[in-house]
Amino acid sequence: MLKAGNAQAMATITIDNRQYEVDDGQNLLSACLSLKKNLPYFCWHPALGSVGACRQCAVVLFKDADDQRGTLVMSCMTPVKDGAIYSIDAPTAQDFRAGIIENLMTNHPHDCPVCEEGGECHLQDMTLMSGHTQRRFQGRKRTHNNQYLGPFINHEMNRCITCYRCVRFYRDHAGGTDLQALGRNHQVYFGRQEDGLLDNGFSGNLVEVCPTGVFTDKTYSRHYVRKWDLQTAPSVCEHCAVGCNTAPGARRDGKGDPRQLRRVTNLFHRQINGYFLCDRGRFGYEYANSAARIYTPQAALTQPLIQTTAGSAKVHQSLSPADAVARLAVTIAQMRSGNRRVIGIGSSRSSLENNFALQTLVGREHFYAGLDERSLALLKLVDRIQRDPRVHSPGTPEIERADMVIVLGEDIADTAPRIALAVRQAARSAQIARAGELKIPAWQDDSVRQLTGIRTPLLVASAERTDLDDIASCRVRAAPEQMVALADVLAQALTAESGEIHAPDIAGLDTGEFTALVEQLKQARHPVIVSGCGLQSQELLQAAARLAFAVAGHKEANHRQTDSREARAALYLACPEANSLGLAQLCDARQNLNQLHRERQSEHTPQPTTLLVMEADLYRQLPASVADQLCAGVDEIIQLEIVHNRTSARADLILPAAATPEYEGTLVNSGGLAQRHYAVYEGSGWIQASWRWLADAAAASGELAGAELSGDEETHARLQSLARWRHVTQLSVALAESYPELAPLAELGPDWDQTIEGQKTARQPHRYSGRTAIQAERQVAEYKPLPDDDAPMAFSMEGIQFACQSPLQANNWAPGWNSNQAIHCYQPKPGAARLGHSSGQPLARKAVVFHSDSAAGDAARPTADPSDGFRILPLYRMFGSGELSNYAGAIASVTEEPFAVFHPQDLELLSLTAGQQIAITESGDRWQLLAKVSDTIPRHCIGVSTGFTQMASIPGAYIEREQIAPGDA
Amino acid sequence: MISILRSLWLVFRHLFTRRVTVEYPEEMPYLAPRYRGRIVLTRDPDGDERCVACNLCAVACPPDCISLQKMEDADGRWRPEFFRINFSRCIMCGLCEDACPTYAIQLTPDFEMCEYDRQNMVYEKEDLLINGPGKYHEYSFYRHAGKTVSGKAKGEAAGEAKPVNVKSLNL
Amino acid sequence: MNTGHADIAMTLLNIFGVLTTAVLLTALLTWGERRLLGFWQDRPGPNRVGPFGLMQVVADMIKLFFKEDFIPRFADAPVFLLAPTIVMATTLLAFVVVPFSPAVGVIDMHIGLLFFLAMSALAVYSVVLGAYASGNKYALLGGLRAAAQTVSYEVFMGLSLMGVVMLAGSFDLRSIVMAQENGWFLLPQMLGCAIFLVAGIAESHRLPLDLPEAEHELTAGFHTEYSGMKFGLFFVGEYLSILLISALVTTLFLGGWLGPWLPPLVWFALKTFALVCLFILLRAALPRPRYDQLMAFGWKVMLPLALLNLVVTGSVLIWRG
Repeated sequence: MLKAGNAQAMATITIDNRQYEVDDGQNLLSACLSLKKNLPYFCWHPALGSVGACRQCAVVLFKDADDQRGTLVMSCMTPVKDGAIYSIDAPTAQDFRAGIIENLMTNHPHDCPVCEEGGECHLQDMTLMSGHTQRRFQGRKRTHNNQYLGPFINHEMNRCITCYRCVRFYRDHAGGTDLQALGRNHQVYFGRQEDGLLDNGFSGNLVEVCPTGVFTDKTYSRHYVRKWDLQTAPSVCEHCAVGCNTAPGARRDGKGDPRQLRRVTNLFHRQINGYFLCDRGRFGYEYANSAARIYTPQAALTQPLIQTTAGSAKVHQSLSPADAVARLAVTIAQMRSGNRRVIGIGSSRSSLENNFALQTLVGREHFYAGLDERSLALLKLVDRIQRDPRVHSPGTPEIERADMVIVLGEDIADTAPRIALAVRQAARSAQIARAGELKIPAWQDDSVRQLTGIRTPLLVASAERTDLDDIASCRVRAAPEQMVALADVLAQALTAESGEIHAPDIAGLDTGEFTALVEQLKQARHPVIVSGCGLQSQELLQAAARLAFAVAGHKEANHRQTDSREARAALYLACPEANSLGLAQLCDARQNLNQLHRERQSEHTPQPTTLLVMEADLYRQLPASVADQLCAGVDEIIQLEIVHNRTSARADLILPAAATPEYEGTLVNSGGLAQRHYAVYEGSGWIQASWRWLADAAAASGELAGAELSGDEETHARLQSLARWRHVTQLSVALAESYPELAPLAELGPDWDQTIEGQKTARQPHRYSGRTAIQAERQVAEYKPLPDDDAPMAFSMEGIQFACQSPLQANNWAPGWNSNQAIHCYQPKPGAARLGHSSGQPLARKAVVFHSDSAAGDAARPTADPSDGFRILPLYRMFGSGELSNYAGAIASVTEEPFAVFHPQDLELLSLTAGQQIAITESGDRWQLLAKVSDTIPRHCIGVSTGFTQMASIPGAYIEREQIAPGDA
Repeated sequence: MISILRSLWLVFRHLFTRRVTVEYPEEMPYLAPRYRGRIVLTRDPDGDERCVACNLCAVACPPDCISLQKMEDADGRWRPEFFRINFSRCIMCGLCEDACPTYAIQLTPDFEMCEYDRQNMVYEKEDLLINGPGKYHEYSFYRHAGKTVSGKAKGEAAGEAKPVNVKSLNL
Repeated sequence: MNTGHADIAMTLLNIFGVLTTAVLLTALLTWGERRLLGFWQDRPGPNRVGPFGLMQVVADMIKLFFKEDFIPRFADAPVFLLAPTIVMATTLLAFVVVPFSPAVGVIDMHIGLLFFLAMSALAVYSVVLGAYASGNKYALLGGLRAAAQTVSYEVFMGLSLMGVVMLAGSFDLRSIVMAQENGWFLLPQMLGCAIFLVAGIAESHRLPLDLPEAEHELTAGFHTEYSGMKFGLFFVGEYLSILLISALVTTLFLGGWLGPWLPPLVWFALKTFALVCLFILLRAALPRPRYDQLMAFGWKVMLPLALLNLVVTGSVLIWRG
């Protein structure tokens, strides 16, 4: 719902001679669905409101108890009225609805068997619900030609029933421009002007929003199975730090293909993703199926002949898991006896439990975050700011209700897309508030949108143009330093009693605009400030924090907030990876890769050294020359990894690690919410969670003779506890005991043996098919399902099937509701939080007042003259900046090549041309990029694509003019 | 007492009635064309596989002994990449045939399919596919369905009008 | 009795001839019963092995012999092993008194009929011991039923024969046959014959009075735990009892070997065969009564009837002098 969910007045209504208490102010359709009545609808969507387009939800409204005939009304357009009498089952309403669906179906193309929506189709459900079973229409069917909409979405226009949901979502909700309703009367066509990729980053939601199969998931279609054949479990998206809840679907392949993950769909979480996911989250799952996936342990060949032909990359061959564990165990045994040093490198995209197991193995002093100095410092800073009692991290509904949003530097449309979608809704909050004053309910979508010209103040300060520019009331393009100045002046304006406030010197920001901004900020009751690590500027984060503190002070002083929670300023700080903030809890700021590199350079230990890298690519964090030095300086590299990367190419031993949907663990999102993801499927090959490899090896090392004789007590105790862990929940409890911040992990989810009325939760739906045939090619006797040691869930159909009975059940299904619209059956009312326990616990971080320290500032500018050097600004792309999603085939096919964006005058100055390859060199490293030109980037700044597979790390903050040269053709 | 004697007499009289047993291997019984025996996959009148890998047979199957995987060919048709029936589990109930929207899966009057090795009861698509339309000679799903396949563009299926040109002014 | 060598040879021939024939006929009966049941149920019955399926008997024997000789670990092994042999032994022993023809017959006893009654009473031990030794609740229930049923029906089985004994004035079976030269005892002793038949069915626990086995309630009753040849012995014992009861009815009520034109042995065989067929027909046609009905029928109907028969026969004999 778009409306605030505060304490609401109740209304008593009568439906089919029974009385009900429902929330007042909602529409009748929403009320009927809250009462779990089966009332068909198409155009209404809880997040999009009502427009009354499809006429499917007709019910009869009676004037009073004596009225026998009543009048037909569209329930989605009718506000519930206290004392009103309605009928869903009245013959007039039923006949009307049957007639509507019969009309909608006249042109439907008789292709359900070959439609990807079949089996989870809202249209199928509603047709059945309305009772239309026999086609009477004898005329010809209207047909349309389809369009090519890119590698993600398939278009099959003939299935359309013209409910307009797609354009209402795509244009009105997500701000897309390239999909529209074309044609007229019964020939309306939903498509683009011409074939081409849908360019909005939320286009994937069309698959779920469309009630039938006009828009279907193309990647899913390539390895398609019906919804009832997908086993699923609650998971958390691993492609950014927002922490959207997902329901990945997987099915074992009948031919022994290891690629089991089939698709990702949205799992409703009221506070985070609501009904929608971004395209990186939806289509990025394919990395788990990519050709680069590691399925078996691999060891580097030691013959020098082969090695020399392969360069620094090693040639690997598979070995059995037992041998691999034995090899790792030897290393650990040597570490135990003091004959070897093992350095663990943790991961910001892996779970807390995996990192903790690694830390337990190597000891806290030998544990390093798999991040460079700059990134880790930023994360620690985010952590410190979030601990301040004056700020809090807003959830999505709070952002959507904000009456002012200030985006400082972070390109959230590309680094935290779901937050950008929420900000986009915030842009309408003023409109909705005005509608409320006019007594127009928020769900009256079309009426509310008639109030044009009323927009929520939205300041977007960015390095380059962003996808939020179209809704920004004030756009500023500036270097981070200028944004810092802007934020500080705004903070000053809030705190200062009076006096002149001067607009900072930023091109394009005039005094009038600035004064208006200050005034809006002073008026705002619920402002939200958004920033993040994207620009890699600590100054900027601190400035955002100072502005937030000023807002909090202003709120307290002027609005006299009674609730202390209300008085806190909403500050959203976006982090780069799914568990960035979690990793930051486990290590100090100095435990970074640059520090490790410096230590390795300076000190020379007599013992041999092993680098144990877990789910991290050193070459993504460090410039290649530094990473090379780090790798060359150790005797052995052992890597636990999901997909092959440049670090694994140099590893002596590679162990196949589970991808997020394959194991259970805890991730901490940007808002400091610890969420657990569960294993959706068993994983192929010898894949297992990283911590299990480590625990197995620790146990094996204990059995090696002589290992117990020497070594210190503490190491020994650590390894023993690691070897004893059998369930991931044991690690969570140990984590909760070791780190006070992580104490909530102990209460995060059901323990592995905690069943509900003796039942586990089934991962497979009760209609799962092919149980006795799918494996029969290899062995006709059925395999026993694998047990799950981590969660009370079964890799079979046995157990709880309904999401209302178990919080672990992610299959969105209810009797009569096969599509994802079934979600309302698990909500007290449409749009409200799911029934039962919603996953996620905020970290228990102690409140500490934040003092910004200038010492932790950004790297100083080397030269005083700006015309000599260039400021490097990291730029992000939804497709291209995600480490794992870059391995997804469909995403890789639309990713640009790495680029550098110049201001036209700078380009001229450097005598380069757009479209030309350029090379940037810095102390032995060379980056080859495609030169692009943009007049929106500030002068003396180069925007460099960040996180792209070919060149993940970027040069330092400043480079000299000489470092830029034309590149190879 | 009388009833006991009467039943004795009635049963005794059966000594002189005809036996109903058909002595099977020597004498083949007549099985109706709709007898529910071995399952086959049929082809449409043009000789193409009828199965469109919709998975309805698999979900209808009570012992879950049908498994298949959809793939899409260059001609736009959906086909099963593999189609497997584990006949050692099959109960010949015919629900798969009822569920099939394209008449692809059909049960035949052949039931002589015993094996010494249970593994040999697993039939793949190659074993199931026959070279004919089975009981339904005329039906071809793709002639009716609106999905475009090679040789049938939009608007060419049964009962379809020519595609609308959205950019035309004569809507 | 003469004691010449020829006589000894003749006696031995008689003994072996009678025993072998009895056992072989029993074997044949297992096939014959199934064929007849088949005919009465409009199907052919076993007809696959050998001509008319006759070799089915051999096939079954091979099967029984080669089955695992299994003794449950909870069973009382010696008794468990002994029980099936008792039924065989007692039933075969009862055959010695049956006069098959003037020339054929193992032994003539003055108390032939009493010997038969004694032997058939002993047979119940087999069932009760076997059931008890099995250590199985169904077997025990079956054994209890068998004990009660046999003891009850034993009473009027003996009483029902007293009429015949009074008419013939002897317990010697040969004398009883000879006494029927002027007319079978079936006519004067119709009631006695019927009672004896019913009691005989109950004694051999054949359907419809097979309460000790009653597979619908007790799995297989007293022989639940038996398999292989030990089960085979129970099985053969049951068929032997059918033969025995049929042979006795022939002897006591149907004039034994007496009959015109045909040789005496053939007459005896024909009469016995007809009775065996009647036994099988009873199985094919009649359902099993409830256990309480069986007991009530025995004590409240059969016993008074047997006594009545005895009194009437005695009175008539006295009246006629």
